[in-house]
Amino acid sequence: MFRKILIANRGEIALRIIRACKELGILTVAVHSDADAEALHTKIADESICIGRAPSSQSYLNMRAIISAAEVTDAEAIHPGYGFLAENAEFAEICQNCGLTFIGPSPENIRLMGDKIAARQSVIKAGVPILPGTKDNVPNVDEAQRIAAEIGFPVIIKATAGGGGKGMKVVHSPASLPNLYAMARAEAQASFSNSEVYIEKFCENPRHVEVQILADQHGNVIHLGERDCSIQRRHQKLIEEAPCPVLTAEQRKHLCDCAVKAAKSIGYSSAGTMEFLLDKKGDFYFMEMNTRVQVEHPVTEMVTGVDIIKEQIRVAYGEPLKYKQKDIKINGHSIECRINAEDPVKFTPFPGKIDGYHPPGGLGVRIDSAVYDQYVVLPHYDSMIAKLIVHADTREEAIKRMARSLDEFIIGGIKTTIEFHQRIMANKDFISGDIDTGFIERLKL
Amino acid sequence: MHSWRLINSGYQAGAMNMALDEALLQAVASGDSLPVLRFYRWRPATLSLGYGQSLAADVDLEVCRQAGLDVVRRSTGGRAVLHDQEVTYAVIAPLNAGLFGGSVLDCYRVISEVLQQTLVKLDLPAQLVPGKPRGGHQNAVKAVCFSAPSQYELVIEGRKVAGSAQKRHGQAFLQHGSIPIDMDLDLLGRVLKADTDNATADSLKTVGWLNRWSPRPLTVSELETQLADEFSRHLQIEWLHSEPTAGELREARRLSVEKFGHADWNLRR
Repeated sequence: MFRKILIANRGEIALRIIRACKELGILTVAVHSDADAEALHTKIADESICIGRAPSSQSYLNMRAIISAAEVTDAEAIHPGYGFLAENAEFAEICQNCGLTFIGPSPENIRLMGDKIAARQSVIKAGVPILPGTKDNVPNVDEAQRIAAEIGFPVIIKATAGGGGKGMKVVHSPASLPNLYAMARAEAQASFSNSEVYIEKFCENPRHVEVQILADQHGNVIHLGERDCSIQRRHQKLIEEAPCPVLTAEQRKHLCDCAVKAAKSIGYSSAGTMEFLLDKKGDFYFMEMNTRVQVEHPVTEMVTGVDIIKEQIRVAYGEPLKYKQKDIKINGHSIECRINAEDPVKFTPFPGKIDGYHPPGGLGVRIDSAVYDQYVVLPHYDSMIAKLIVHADTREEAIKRMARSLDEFIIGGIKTTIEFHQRIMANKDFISGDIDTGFIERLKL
Repeated sequence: MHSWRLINSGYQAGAMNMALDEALLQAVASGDSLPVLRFYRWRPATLSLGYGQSLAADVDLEVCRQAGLDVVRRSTGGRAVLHDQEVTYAVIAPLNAGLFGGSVLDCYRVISEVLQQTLVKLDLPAQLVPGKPRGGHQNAVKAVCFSAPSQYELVIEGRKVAGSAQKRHGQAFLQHGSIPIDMDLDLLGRVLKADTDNATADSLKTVGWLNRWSPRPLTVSELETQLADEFSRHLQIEWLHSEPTAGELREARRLSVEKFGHADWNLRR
């Protein structure tokens, strides 16, 4: 097993990785910016090294400094966590060239899945459904009708040069298409000086469902079930749960087997997550693959009992997966709330000194956090300061457990989104499981 | 002014050179010694390998044997270095003295600046290059340490003229490095299998040595003196001319037999 690992990250995920290393008997090296000199992960690791100034580009994204830190401490491997350099193929390659094991997938797979178009092409070959559509310009209304009929209504017409919701038109029937097509082109021309448009299947308020994959370097690939991460605000996840409350056993099997097949087809190893959209009819479409361990991995750990980080470290060392697919059972239900140092209504960042900290506890309650009483939350980095995760036998119980845990959670001195999560736990649509990616938007209205 | 020990060890075998660096690092880390600047030389000429480097893959041991070269594995990282006509320095100091900056790269930079200033004062157009990290290129860097200018390394006309490596131990660090005065590039190439490996052959083109550019031939002694002066000036150091203590020598002898002289260590990869 590795003798020493350097953790190229900070905050709660650095702590998470250090915990797994300690349980495996591996020495740990923490790296930190000068602003993070008092961060918890530097105290818990066996060694810690300053790698630069506060701005991420000078520290946590500073490849040169991180590799140097590994060299001067004789670290054998680097765990990149999530964010920062976790999906940087060049960094993964540099580690390899310097004789350091990058704990994650190969640089080739990072690149492949980082290129959204190439990723979609490669999973199609594995028989995974992708959102039907064309990326090519639709030159006239006849072509538009033909393509729309092929895809199946509803469809959405989007500006090729566009973004920000401009020039997008949802079309529900062939009758309304000609007008909407003309309008879409006109708007695209006006907003982007480019009237080119393309057509995709329109998924109205889908659910965001993702499958956790674990693979070793011997060709074994398993899934650990799925997560529902539909509660998002501006594409930032706020609440995640496992399993997805609306999937039937058959749908689940189909979805997860698809994910495994896709991962196998590209020779994937390490942890990874396949993200899908699930529409109201129960059809799912591949969106992208994240080639890293994710923020919300704890809900999967709670329902399966698998330590995902430990498995990542083992497979990086070359060991075969500890589990076969038949060993994986989904027990009960788990929910995670991301607690951010933000105004609970406006979601604006609220860094500062934490004055009074008391985390919740009890059966089925887990806190993944690197803050402590009197810790100063810094403005330079992500505003997430804690993940509150609960596990219970049923979803109903998990919600009650989360609600009472949130009530106990004291973080004084700064504003946090605890209050926001309390509102969601009391929301009748959330409680009934009737949620989708439009949930937060509708909440505001 | 800071008091440092200045040790000039002269010619020793490769294993002893590495052993004494390590024994001094332990002494500084445990607070038993003031910081140290040491110079040493190699007899016989020696090929040293990086801590994690593969001997089997990167070195032709038969060529070494025939050329009468010793082979030793360092406890610091990096790649292969052929030590013969060069200045070899070792800086062993505590991290919290504040002399070497806050971050790991600052540490390299401070020492590199001293090296650069020394060469510039000897009329050599030395520059510090913050290039790509080791191994970042697709077609550069294989076995040869001196072919990858990186991390504030010293170059003259694009050729690397100083190779350094650093290691931490507790609250102290050891940085040692090589500044070749002359270089047998042909021998280096044969030792590192450049004839069968194009990447290595290419990388030899970025290896440098001072007398290639020096307006007059430099000697090792002269450079050692200039370097010590520049260190002293730059970091406000006052030298205590020193020898290793009996305890340090004892530990060094043990390490030179049990570690750096032992096949288990040198041939571990």
